[in-house]
Amino acid sequence: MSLEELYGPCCAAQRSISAAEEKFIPQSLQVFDSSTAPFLKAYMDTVTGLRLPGVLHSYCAILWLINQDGQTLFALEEVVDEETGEPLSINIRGSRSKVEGAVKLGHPSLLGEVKDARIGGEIVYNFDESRWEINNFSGRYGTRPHQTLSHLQAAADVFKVEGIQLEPVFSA
Amino acid sequence: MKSLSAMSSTEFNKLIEKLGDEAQIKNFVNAVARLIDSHPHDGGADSDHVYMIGRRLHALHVFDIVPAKILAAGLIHSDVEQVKNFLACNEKYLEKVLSHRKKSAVEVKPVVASTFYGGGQVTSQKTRMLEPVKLAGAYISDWKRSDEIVWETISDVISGKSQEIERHSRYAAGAHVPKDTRRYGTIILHVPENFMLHGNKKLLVTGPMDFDKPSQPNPSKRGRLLPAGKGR
Repeated sequence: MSLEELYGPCCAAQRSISAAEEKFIPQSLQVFDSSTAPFLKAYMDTVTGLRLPGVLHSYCAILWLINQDGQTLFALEEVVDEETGEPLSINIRGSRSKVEGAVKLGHPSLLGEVKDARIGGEIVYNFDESRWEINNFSGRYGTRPHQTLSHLQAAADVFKVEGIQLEPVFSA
Repeated sequence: MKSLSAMSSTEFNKLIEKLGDEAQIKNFVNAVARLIDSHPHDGGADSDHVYMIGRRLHALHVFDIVPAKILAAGLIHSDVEQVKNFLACNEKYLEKVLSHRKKSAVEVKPVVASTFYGGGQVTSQKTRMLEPVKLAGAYISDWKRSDEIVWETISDVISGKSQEIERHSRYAAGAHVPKDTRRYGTIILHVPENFMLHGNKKLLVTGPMDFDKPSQPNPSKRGRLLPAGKGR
């Protein structure tokens, strides 16, 4: 199957991109490939023996994207200084604190100069179900009209090939 | 209610089951307000996150259960642009929320003039009197800027807390108002048509100014703006 058939066409973001997301990249950004996959798997597998990573990633999403070339990119949602891009923190979901001059780096910041992608979303740990989930929760790259559960399933299969089991959670 | 941002997909999908009565709906509305108020409409990740939660709630038909009037009341102090972003997937419901939001605001009629010096009074050139007490602790959210007139920032003037004009900005022609001029001037706040005042937040009034020197300024009342009906 072609990349188009698997993950959908590579399109521009459906919604706006901030100036910071145009300029800066998260320091945790990596490509999911044969060199990083074993480490990510080992990291994610620690939820079977430790509660720490499960709690952490029920509040801190891992952003993922599939780019033009079919590469899978992943990073934490980081918070940086909006002027300098200096890393300040990571985003903890549910936190009510707003810091003046700080900005979150969402999905577009995972890409290079051209902010087009095939599909994107988040990887989170669902404590209620004791499982890792992959979703399409990106207003820029995950919910465009042509996108379907099968595209998300294909993304989940990228991880499955490397032994990482992710439950797809699709929002129409 | 747990933060909508931090809910697992399991919790999120069961949300609708927890909206069975008025108290639960109110909890939900509070959670929406917290979501919107803690995420600035930045045109980036925060805006996208708020949009996605609104979209997911819409897909779960949550807004079929939550009356627009109740949500509007809960979001009365929230950034209207972020409210629009949150409900962008549900235009009809958004229209209802905005309509209720507008109705629940206090309407302020156009053009309010107030003598700034020498006892002062609040008068209205065209419509009803704007009573200072109604503005106390309020936040004027829909103020529109104009480049054709002089603008000043006035904090807490009408609430009676500081009663000082904070700073001069400029005349339209670019000339600065002499510093002392304001001490015996007249403030005229031109309130736009259909202007809405949302209550119970900080007071921040920005408006055009005119200065009319009184013949005998009273130094003891310098810089004061007194309540309506207590003029010279």
